[in-house]
Amino acid sequence: MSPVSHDLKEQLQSLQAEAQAALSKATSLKEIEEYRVHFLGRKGPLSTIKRGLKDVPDAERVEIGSLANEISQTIESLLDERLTALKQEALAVQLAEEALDVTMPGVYLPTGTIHPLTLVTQSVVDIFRGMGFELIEDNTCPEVETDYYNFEALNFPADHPARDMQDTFYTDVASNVLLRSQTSNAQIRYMERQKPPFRVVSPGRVYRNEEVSSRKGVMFHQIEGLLVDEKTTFSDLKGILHQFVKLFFGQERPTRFRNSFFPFTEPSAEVDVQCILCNGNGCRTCGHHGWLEILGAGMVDPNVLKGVGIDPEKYNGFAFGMGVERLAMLQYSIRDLRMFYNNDLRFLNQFRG
Amino acid sequence: MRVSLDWLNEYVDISGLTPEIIAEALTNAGLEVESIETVGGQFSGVVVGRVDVVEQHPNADRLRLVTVNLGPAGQNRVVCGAPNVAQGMCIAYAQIGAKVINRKEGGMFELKPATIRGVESTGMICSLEELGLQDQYTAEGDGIWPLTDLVTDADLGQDLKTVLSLKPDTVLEVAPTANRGDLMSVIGVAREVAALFKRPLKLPSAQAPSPAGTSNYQVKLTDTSVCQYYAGAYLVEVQNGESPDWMKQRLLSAGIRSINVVVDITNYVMLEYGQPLHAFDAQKLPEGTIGVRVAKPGEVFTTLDDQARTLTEQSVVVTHNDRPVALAGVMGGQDTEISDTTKSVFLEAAFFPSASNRRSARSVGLRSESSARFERGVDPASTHLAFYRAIALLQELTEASLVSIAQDDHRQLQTQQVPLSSDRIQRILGMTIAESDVEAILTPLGFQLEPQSSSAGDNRQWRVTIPSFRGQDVYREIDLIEEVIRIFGYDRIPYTLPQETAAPALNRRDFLLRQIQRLMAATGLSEVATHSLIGDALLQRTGFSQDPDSTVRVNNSQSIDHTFLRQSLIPNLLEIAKYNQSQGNENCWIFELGRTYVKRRSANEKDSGVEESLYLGGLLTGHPARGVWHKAPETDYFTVKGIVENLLETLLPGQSTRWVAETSMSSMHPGRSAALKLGKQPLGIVGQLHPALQETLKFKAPVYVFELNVEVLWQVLQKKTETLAVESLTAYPSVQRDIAFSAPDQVTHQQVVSAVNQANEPLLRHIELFDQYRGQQLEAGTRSLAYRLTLQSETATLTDKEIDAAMEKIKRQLSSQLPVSFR
Repeated sequence: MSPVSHDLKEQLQSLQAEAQAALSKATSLKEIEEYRVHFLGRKGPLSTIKRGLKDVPDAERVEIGSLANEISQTIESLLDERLTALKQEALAVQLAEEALDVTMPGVYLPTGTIHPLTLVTQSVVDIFRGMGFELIEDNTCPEVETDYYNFEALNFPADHPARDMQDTFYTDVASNVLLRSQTSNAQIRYMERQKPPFRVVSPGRVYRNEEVSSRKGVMFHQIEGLLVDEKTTFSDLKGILHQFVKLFFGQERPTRFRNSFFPFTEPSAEVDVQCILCNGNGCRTCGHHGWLEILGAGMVDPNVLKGVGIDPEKYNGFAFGMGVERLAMLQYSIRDLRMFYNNDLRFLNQFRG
Repeated sequence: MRVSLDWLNEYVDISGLTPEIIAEALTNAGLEVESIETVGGQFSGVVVGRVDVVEQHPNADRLRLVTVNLGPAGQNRVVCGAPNVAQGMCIAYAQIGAKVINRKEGGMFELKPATIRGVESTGMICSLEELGLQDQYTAEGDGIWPLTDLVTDADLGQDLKTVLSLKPDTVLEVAPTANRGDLMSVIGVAREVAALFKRPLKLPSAQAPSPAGTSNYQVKLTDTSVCQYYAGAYLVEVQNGESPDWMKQRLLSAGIRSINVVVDITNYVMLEYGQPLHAFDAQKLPEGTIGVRVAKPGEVFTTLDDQARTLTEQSVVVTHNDRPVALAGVMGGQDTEISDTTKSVFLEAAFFPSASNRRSARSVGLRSESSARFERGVDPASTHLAFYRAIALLQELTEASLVSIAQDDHRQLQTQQVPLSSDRIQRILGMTIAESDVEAILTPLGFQLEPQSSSAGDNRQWRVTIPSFRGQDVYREIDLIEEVIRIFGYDRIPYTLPQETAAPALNRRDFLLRQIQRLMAATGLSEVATHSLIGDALLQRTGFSQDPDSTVRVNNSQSIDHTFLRQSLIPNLLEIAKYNQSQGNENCWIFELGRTYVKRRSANEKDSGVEESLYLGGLLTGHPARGVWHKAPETDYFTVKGIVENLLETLLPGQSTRWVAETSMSSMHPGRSAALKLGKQPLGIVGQLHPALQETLKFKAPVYVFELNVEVLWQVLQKKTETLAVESLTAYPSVQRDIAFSAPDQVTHQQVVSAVNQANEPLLRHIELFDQYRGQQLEAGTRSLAYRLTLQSETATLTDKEIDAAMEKIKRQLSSQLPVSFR
């Protein structure tokens, strides 16, 4: 080997050692780039060596040339390796710095809740909708009502005790204008507009002039139901209400139909469901009777049908009414009616989902 | 009404039936039994004793050692803790082996010898409660029951029940429905029991009596709307005094105090037949003319209870020579009251129609056992039965002699007949009831059934004669069907479902209301329910007022908190928020969907003239956000505005609402409130509660409220018929350009947007305010606004030239309309 070649070979080998030593100490991306320019740049030692190849004898040029290329590639990969290693180190530092207490509370605005009386009303309406009942539009059923729709058309005799000042709120609008004492006015207003057959439900607020207590208030909510068709029977009424009880309380529950009296139905019934708290064994909620009264019902009185121009010889039907507060108290084990109207957020927030 | 089973048993044999079985059957048939009570003493082994010696218990401050004298049976010593025990007192002594009531746990227990604090006690001195007699006797204060006035020394050692003539009995508290006046009597209830258990009804005999002489008593009825029948019996040689024990017991079980035998007889017969009667002292009601008339306004009359009552034209009085002597069918007069020394009696039996009797009782604010019966309606055809029965009892128990009977009768008694067919029963009930069952049910109730020969095939027809005592509530075939099924049993009707279900119509309004509720909840507000009936105090407390002329007031409220109907939901919401703050719930975001009420027109028979509108009200104070360690958001005007904007954009996409600064509402912050309009219609208000009001109400944080008229939203949605047709998405990229300018504060954001839109630039897709700046570089009273505009074409990628042209057009439009200077 010529002395020129020998010299170049030594230079190349020391260059590799020098690069290895330098890169091992490099700690930043910037340093790596500086070394890249230093070793591999046009003014760098490799370029100088490659330029010196012209002085190498022909027979040795290939060997030295390929060695130069080899060393160049080695330095290149050393640079890349070091670069990757440094990036990984940097990422590891970043990740370590970014670590959180992943159990700390998330940031959100909690969803509000729907009032239990609304939940129960909607659930009752939906059950009846499933049985073919249409929901009467609320704006067709006024709460400030005339004597005609609240009493007269519902077959209340002129001197019926319910018309007493003690039970019904009368207003200063006119002597016949009152706050409805039941949602049954919806029956009359609907039947005046529609021809049978029909099945409808209508929820709403009603008012009674009573002393406020844990079980009674001056205002409460009812849901009215009405079905009129050509061959409607009391057994259909029992069937529909039995289905309702099963769907509302989520399981088959014994029901009891008792005779009662309402001016707008004949025959009339009050319907009890077996106490859901004590399963009929008797407890404070059911007054130790084992039964809870949940609704009033009956076959629509022929006088009511006649009054709205429906022929009671051709059509008959049934009607029912239930108290929303009562159902909600049973559904959610609420002991005091006033909870609904205090609207304590600690109470309301329990009605999620 | 209280019904004694012992008394009931006199008219229908109830042997073998427990009180519970009777109660359940009556309840199911429509006579609700509210409670079952045992009266007259279930106890046994209790005798009369006298306290001879009282000594202090050696080991207990509160106990005494009492030596009880039991007459011939000697003496016994008991330990007694009652504070009222005293020497010489006669007491009820329970012997060893006696059965008395356990006051703590209820139920009976048997008395055993006991050693109390080291001293043997043989027996017990009883309280009224331990004997179960508290409904029949009264004792002052706590402790044992002093018998001192009820017994004598001769009774010592004798059985207490025998001495007091106590007889155990069971009383059912029943609640007849408003249509069943006939059930306000023991006989009426007995008739139900007879029909339910298929046992014969035994009625007391009531023979027409024979007057022994004549008198100058006359009855003249002139106004049949207040009285249709009046009979008066004049009886002399009356020996008034205490009633026999059996009568006292029965009155007691019915909850009526025994007075004297004459008065007791009238009450007894009223309970028995349901026909109220009244007895006058005939010495104070000398022979003369008896009438019934409407009172003169202002006429004053003193009733038996010593109350001077001012009468009205609604009051009805019984008169003696035109002078009022009784409030007809309600209560007698003090002047003519029966006393223990009464020697002659004028006994009244009358038929007062329910409507005028009810008005009369109401006119003086008085209800009595008598008026409770007339109000429901008594049987006009059997007034004489009760009359005869009472005369017979007076003759028997007071040795009275009947001198004469005076009466005036204007009753129009008609026997009603109603057809009934088995087909109809089947059609209404959905089940067949055998002919024999129909007859077996109706006959014991007093109905007479006549089968009709025209009955074809399986359809049996009857002609049914209605008994007079059911004339009020049974007069149609449907009423008879109810009679059949209530006795047959509702529980025997099968469950069926009606056929031919049509799909129910959709209720789009309900969809809207549910959507509003869900949206509000999703936005973080919780639904509340508040009273529609409010009072002045609420408005005062919350600093609100409402127009008095259009306010609907109730005339007869019992509470000052519920005197008129609300016209805004906000006062209620403030009250709820205040309540929640006091309960520690300071972050309160709530809403209500509720009605308001405004007088609009004059009322007529079918229209109240009141407009009821559904409103959505909301209130926000504090912030319910979770994760506040990270970032604690605050509620401000733009929070509440954003909630309303989101609601409106969801419900009415593309419909623009106008926001107008609202500076004139006294309860609202004049610089932070807005009125909303949808088209020309006022939609509602949004804003901050006036800080002064916030302070008065002691709210810790600012309060924001909104109230929207849902009816306005509904009017728009109701008209909307087209369904959504989705737009295809543009394939060409959009570009964004910013504009910034300064303008006087009076220039509103809404004006800027409106001016930009009026440029009618087809490439403009969206405009977004992204910055507002006020500061030293700007003149006072001006601000800088910066908007990001999004431009896009549906047909091509936009060139710079097109973009610049569009922006130029928009800026020109802005400058031409508003005093803006671009930067």
